[in-house]
Amino acid sequence: MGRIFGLYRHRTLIWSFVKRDLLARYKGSAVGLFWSVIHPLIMLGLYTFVFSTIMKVRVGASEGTEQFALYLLCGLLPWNAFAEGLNRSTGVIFENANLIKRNVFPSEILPVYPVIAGVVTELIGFAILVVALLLTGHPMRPVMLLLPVILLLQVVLTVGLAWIIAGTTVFIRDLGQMLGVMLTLGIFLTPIFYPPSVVPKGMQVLLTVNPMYALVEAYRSLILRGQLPALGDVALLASIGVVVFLVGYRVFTRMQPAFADVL
Amino acid sequence: MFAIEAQQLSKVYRIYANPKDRLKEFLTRGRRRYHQEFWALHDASFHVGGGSTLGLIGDNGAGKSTLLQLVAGVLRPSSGQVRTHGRVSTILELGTGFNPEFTGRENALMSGTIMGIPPKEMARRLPEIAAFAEIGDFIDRPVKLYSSGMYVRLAFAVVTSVDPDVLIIDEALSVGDQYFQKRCIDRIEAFRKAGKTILFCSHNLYQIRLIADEALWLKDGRIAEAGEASRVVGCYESYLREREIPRESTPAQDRGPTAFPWICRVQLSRDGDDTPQDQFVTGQDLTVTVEYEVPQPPTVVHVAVLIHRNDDVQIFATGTHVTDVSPPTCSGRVRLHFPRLALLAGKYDVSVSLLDEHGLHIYDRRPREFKFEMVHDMKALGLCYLEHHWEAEEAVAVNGTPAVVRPGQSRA
Repeated sequence: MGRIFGLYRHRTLIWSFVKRDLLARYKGSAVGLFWSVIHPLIMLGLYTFVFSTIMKVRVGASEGTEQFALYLLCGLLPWNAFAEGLNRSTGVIFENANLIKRNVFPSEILPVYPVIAGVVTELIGFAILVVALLLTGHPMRPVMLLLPVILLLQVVLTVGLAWIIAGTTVFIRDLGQMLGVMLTLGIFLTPIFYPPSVVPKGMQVLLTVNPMYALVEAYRSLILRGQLPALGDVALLASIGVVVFLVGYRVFTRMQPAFADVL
Repeated sequence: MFAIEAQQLSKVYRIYANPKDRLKEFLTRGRRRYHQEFWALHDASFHVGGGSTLGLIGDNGAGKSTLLQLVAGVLRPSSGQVRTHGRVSTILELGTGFNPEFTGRENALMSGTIMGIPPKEMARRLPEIAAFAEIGDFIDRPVKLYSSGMYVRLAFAVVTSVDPDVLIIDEALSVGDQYFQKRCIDRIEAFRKAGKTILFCSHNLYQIRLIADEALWLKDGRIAEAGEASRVVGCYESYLREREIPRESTPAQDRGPTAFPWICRVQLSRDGDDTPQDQFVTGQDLTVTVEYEVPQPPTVVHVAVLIHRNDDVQIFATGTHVTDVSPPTCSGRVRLHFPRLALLAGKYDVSVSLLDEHGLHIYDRRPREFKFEMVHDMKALGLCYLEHHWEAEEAVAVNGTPAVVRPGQSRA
């Protein structure tokens, strides 16, 4: 247990990986980090066009905004960070095989850095969202100061899953393919492109066990509705997050000694 | 106190024909075996005292790197255990684990962090690291742009700058130019003098002899020989030489009564001591005793003795016929004395022949059947010890002009 705090000890190391990761992503490109802004804007425009203009998905007062784009962005940003963290975690051990085989390297930090890098992209997106809120005259409310708490829960959940996935993929490489399918299912089964109210009554139960639903709803509640999120949702998210985090750490550190043999 | 202690250390790899087998075995919980075992290291026990240097030798694939990785803690042993005391610093397989995308500076800081040195402290040491590695501005470029020499120089500089108690080096010294190798050796020497423990492997046996106090020879994952460095290196060299020449198979000859004289016994021993020996010390004596039977005396016979090193280098041959000695013409024996045998450490073979009165016809021969080993405790390399002495003097100045003229400076 105490070793989890080793993560804190390695914070400079984690941060240098994150920094390198972000810099490397846009290295050699003309506008650099600006792509982190352009890319989500284009996707936002596309999704808004498809779901709002063509498929006529409507959001209203119960969602806190009538602008579909704002509604979408609140769900899409955390989801993208989540999906990116998990997707990248499948390869992260292989990419750093060199470090693991030649050093007594704290490999438990490896699945953490893509998650943090995803969160950085998410924060850039949130900055765009705030600008958009101001432009549309949406009221800014003090509950938004609680956003970091939700963000922390998101990181805890994602890191826990990333550990499980990163460790397991070393032995079962098919997991990377399976994960792609799962994430595609996830983005459509979680109300991101549509409001939860359109989900048929019989299937609402699916939402109550989906921590990602609890997560995006918490974001929307704080940003769009200006209310505290439903306590039950946050409790669900927090308990699943902490359990997954602890189990993930245990699973990963159990597999860790064998990495150098298999890589 | 021992700095490194290994007890019955083994490493076995499971080789799966394909990744599915690994999964199948996992799912059946090992009830069926889908793997083959490969023992990279088998039952190795050794210890290294604090402040001493252990050299690791052996053929490629003998398990040297595995052993180093186990001691470094990168691999977990399959059985047995290894303990180290103090901070361990390693260079495994050509360079430590650097991230190719990171700059030299970042990698140095990262290595420091891994070894528990705060970034500030590491940053303070960076100028010295950069100076030792001699990579100049490259310290701020990604490591992937480095030449292999620069990479190893930086690795060596980083690894030795963190003030380790135990230093583990795998083959790193074989990279880099002479100049850098020399500086590495200087630094390793400084480490030794400072009482640090060093574990290293090298194919350069000369280096091992020079640097290591003790050596460990690994052969097919097992310890073949361990102990004082020059002795172990000697054993390994003998083994290398022996492997190079195909063994001459001795034809199965009928020994026993024939019409011609035959050799019935050969013995190697010390003067005045009749017990057979197979190990001798350089500078001491060796006696070869040859007994023969002459079925129809009197027959004039001559005895020839030939010494080979085990790689077929002929060292010395002599015979009673070339030195005008007359062996008995009936059954008897001759003794050949070497009062101060100058041969240096290694393995040697003795061949004995029984010749006719002209020294031309061979009645009987025992090619390379008698073996002995030389050991020595002096600092000497080569085949044999040559009497010598050194003289040293300073250059003599003439008329106030330095005797040595530097380029660009002319003598007045």
